[in-house]
Parts: sequence; C-alpha cells; structure tokens
Amino acid sequence: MSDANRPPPTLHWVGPVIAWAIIMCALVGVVLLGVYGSGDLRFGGALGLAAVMLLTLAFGLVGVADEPPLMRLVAGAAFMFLALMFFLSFVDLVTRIRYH
Amino acid sequence: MSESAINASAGIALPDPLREPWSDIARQREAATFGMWLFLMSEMLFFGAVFMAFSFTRALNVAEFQHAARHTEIVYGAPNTFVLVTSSLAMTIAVRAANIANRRLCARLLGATAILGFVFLVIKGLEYKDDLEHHLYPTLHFALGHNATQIFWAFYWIMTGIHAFHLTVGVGLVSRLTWLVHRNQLSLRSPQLEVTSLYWHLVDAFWIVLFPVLYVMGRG
Repeated sequence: MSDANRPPPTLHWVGPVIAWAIIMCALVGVVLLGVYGSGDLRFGGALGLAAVMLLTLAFGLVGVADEPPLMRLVAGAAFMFLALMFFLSFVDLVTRIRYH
Repeated sequence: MSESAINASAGIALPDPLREPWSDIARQREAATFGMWLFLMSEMLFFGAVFMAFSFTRALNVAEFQHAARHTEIVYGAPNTFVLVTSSLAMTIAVRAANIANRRLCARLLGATAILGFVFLVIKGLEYKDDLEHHLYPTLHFALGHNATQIFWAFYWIMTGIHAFHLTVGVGLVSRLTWLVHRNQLSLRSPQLEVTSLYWHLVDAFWIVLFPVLYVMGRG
C-alpha cells in the first residue's frame, strides 16, 4: 500500500484519559478522607488511595507494561523501593498502636 | 505520509536524532530510556530516604506531627495535585502524538504541560507565602511553639522544596522541547521526548505520595 492510500495513524488517547479519571476519583477520595475521615481510616485510606494513584500513573500514563522486559525489570525495582517506603509507613502505624 | 516525507516535500531539513555510537534510532531510544530509568531509580532512593526519615520521626512524635499537620493547607495541595496529574496526561498524549507524527498536537500538548507545571509552581508559591506570613518555618519565631512541630515543618519545607526544584527543572526541559518541536528543530523520533516524559511522570509520582503524607495522614 502506498503512503497516499494508507489511512492516517490514530491517536490512542482513551486509555490515558481513563487512567487520569481513576486518579482524579482517588484524589477526591483522599481529600474527603482529609476533611471527614478520622484516625486509622484516614491513615490507611490515604495510604491505599495513594498506592492506587501511583499504580494507575505507572500503568495508565507511563505505560510500564508496554516497555521492554529489561525496562520493566528496572521499573519494577524502582517501584519496589516505593513499596518499601509504604511498608515502613505501615511499620510506623503498628509502632504507634503499640505506643498507645 | 511519514514525517520525514512531509518535511522533505516541504523542503525542511530536521537535525538527525541519531547520535554516536548508536547504529539505529531504536537502539538509541532503548539506551536513553534505560539510562533514564536508572536515574529515576536513584531519585527514588533519594526521596525514599527522606520519606523514611519522616516516617520514623513521626512515629516518635505522633501528637506533635498531627498538631503541626493541621496547619497545612489542603485547599492548595488538592488543586495542585489536580494540576500536576492533568499535566502528566497532557505529556502522555504529547508523546503519543509524536509517535503518529502529529507535530502540531505534540507541540500544543507539550506547551500545555509546561504551563500546567508553571501553574503548580505559582500555587505552591502562594502557599509558601501564606506559610511564611503565619511563621510556619522552623526558627525562633515559629508559630506552633513545640520543638517536634518544627521537625514536621522542616520536613515540609525540605520535601516540597526538593519537589519544586525538580518540577522547575522539568518545566525548563518541557518548555525547551515545546520550542524545538514548534520551530521544527527536533525530529519527533528523538528519544528526548520519551525521556523527558519519564522524568515528568516521576515528579508527578513524588507529589502523589507527598500530598497524602503531608496534607492528609498527619491530621488523623
């Protein structure tokens, strides 16, 4: 098929927009927790929603799943450090419960 | 028709994006992206260490951190999160527009990304101004009194300051790309677009963690 007859390439924008909408919903959830939530619900909820936002960003906007295997490995290692950070935040929560 | 064919017919000579020692653009792109992922990993280690220090200090001073966190302004933090995530969406679609050789859309979306990044910095600046007016910075004149509340605000300034610095660099990089793409001085096949996009998403990811940690969780 010649260049002239080839259909113009399509812009795939739906996936990123859906990812953006999911992150926005999670953001609204975090704000509601900040205003109306209390105690452990606010702490755990905000942590969980932040993880949802991060994963949606990684897979929906960055497109980690479409990267070559080597890049996925490096990305996985990078996000493992973030997971470690969340784990330590969880340890912080447990420590606070023990203090009380 | 491909971008190079369009440019050739229009008499435009774009600089070749291929650099030494790469033999083809695909390998160059892979190497550049891999290099950027390694850089992002080191950045995550850096930010991760700061977050961990924050978590441990908070565990030792829970009540003071909660008291200090109540003085952060969620009315600045939430709109800023909206602005930054929307800029990431614009950046993602800009790269996709480049992949289908839509130069005009790519330039416009890159411009939108840079403008949204700048809007974030302006809102952050207004928030900093409010914080300074309320003496929410660790000095002798600190508004909240107790020493441990000063530690929270020290973390606040360090973490948001480092993030703002990264974002300022990002705005500069994206503005440069916008200019080059708009002026037809950069091939849309150049790895610079994808690599800058990765950096931008990293800055967004850090804010997504910073926002609940500084503005929401401490209020519990």
